[in-house]
Amino acid sequence: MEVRFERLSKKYRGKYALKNFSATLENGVYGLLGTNGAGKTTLLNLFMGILKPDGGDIYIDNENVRSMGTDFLGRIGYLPQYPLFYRDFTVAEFMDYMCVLKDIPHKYAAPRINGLLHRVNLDEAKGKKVGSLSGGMRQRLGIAQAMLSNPGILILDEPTAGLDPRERIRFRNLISSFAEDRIVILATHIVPDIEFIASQILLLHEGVLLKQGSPKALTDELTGKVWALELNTPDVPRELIHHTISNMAREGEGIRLRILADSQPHPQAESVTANLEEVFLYHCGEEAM
Amino acid sequence: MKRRILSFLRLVGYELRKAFGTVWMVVFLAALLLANGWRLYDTYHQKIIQWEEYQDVYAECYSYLSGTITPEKIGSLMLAFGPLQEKGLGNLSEEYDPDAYTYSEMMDYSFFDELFYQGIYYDYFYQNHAVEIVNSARSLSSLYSQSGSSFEAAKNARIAQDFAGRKVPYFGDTRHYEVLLNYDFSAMLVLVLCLFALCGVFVTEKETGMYMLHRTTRLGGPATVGAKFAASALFAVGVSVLFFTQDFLTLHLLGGRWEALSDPAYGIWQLEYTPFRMRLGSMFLWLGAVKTLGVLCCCCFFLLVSCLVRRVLSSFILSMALLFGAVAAQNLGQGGYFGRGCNPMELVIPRELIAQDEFVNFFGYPLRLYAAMLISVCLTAAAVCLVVLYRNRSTRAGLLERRRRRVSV
Repeated sequence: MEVRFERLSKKYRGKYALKNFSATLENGVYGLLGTNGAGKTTLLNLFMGILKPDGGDIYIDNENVRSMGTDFLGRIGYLPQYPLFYRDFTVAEFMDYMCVLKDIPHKYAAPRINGLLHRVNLDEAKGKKVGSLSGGMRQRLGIAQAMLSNPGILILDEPTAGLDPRERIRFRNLISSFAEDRIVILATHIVPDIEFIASQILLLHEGVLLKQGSPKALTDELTGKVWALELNTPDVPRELIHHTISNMAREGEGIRLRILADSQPHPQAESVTANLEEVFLYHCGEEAM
Repeated sequence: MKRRILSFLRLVGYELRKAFGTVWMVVFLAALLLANGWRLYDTYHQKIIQWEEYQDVYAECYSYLSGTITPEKIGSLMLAFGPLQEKGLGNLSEEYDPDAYTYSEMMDYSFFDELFYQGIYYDYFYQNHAVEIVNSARSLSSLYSQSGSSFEAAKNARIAQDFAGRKVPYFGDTRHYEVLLNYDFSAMLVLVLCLFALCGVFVTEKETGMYMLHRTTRLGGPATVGAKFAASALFAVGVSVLFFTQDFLTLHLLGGRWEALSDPAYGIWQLEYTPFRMRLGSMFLWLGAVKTLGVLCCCCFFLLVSCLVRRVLSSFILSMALLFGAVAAQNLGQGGYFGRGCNPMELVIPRELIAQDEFVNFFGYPLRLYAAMLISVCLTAAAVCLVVLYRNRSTRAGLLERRRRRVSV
């Protein structure tokens, strides 16, 4: 499957929320990375037809989504940001309701629901009320419902927001397990969410696609721009304060710094390999942190 | 096609489950049914039960006096009631009288007057009264024809037509049905229940974030909106039927008489001028249907509020305010024909609407007031439904945009 965005634009009150976004996606996990308000959710909403674009087109396997009608909806699975679902529904009822909404024939619904709930480790919670689920369980229910129609495209909007580290890791592994033979678009501003599972990163900033590439390619681009420095002083020296410091850790009486700079910022600084957070920080500026 | 219908029915089932299938709603429904039962009994207690002590005397008199009104029956009644009437209210003794039918002369007077004399008098002389109305309407009609006032002429001609041949040849105990006719508490409970259930129909989807999921599913758009309408209508009709049936059965079981339901509707003095010529039983069926239609129209407004606001609480408060406003406007008789025509409470409590043979001038044609109200309230509700449909249609690519403009992207 291939999804192609061509010069997709959207304005709110004359200001671009998304400007001339062009990208081609093939099977794999795509991390849509950007600050809050970078245009991630706008892009997803344009893709799903919830918003109308001011310009540009979207193609799936060379077919314009505008001509696909509701058939297009059968090809996507979506997990929205902060879903609460229906508190009074049981897990099984909610999944069955989603099957009805997705127009999945009744005879196929039950085995599909059972299989997915087993896969997301919720089979024992089938009879539980949605309102009684923890945040992590609810997100797992969310991804299970998104997978009901076995979609070719899985869209996840900030899926790990508010989850504890254990649930976040669990959820990441779940995404990886669902990523086979489909396009997974994962919008987030939490870098570790996509650092290890995304095959491609789309870096959005103020509605513009700044970078697209594999995590390794993006971090390699910063070779010679990330520096590590260990000092015996407790404070950051004055000559370094105008540099972007991506990390600062105290160690005994001294400090250990990671600095973003185009040239060696301090005689003792050593060039190190960048991580994805530093790529994000480098391109999006300090407001990204 | 069959699968589509089945899917839609399942959607309706889930909409019913979402809005009304909660434990709280069931408890609330049960509590309101109990409250209605208690209120019915209380009303019965106030209006009817005071003669319960003399039930045997009443049953004996009723078995003789009920049915076709004859001079013999009137003669028998006047044999007992006439002397008391001649004596005059001020001269009647309140002391115990062993010869009295009840306790004293005064109580006998009240007993015969309230339970038999007034009713039989009304029924017996209704024919004469109707003839007077017909004659008067005919002469007015010809008078207006001569003066060129075609609407007034046509109106009076219709009044003459309505009252021609009217008579109430039978006497029956209609007290329980008079109570039923004046009983509005259940309609208010139905509205409160609908308000509780429907105020969250659309707004809950926003609060839970489900509206976004709906937009990305095949049946999450118009089919779901349609299912919400269908489920809301089913609920409104269901609870209306439940409560109105409870009203009828409770009063009937408390002593209502089947034979009274065969009387003409205008056999009840409150409906003396009603344009309807149907029997009392049919009248109550008709009234139940009109009330249910009124409740449905109110529900359209609740749904409109639910799709306009962003919080269930706001929806509840606004809907409640709207309901109070509608009730107050009806009670104060505010708004003229236009205002009344937009107010669904006119159908929920239609007593005054059906009690008078009134007409409105519809391009020179005398249209019955109740028909005009029925049409205009239904048209208003239909317009409200269209706005709800439009709002939900525009949500797909409009409401969300408006919302996102507020939170800078």
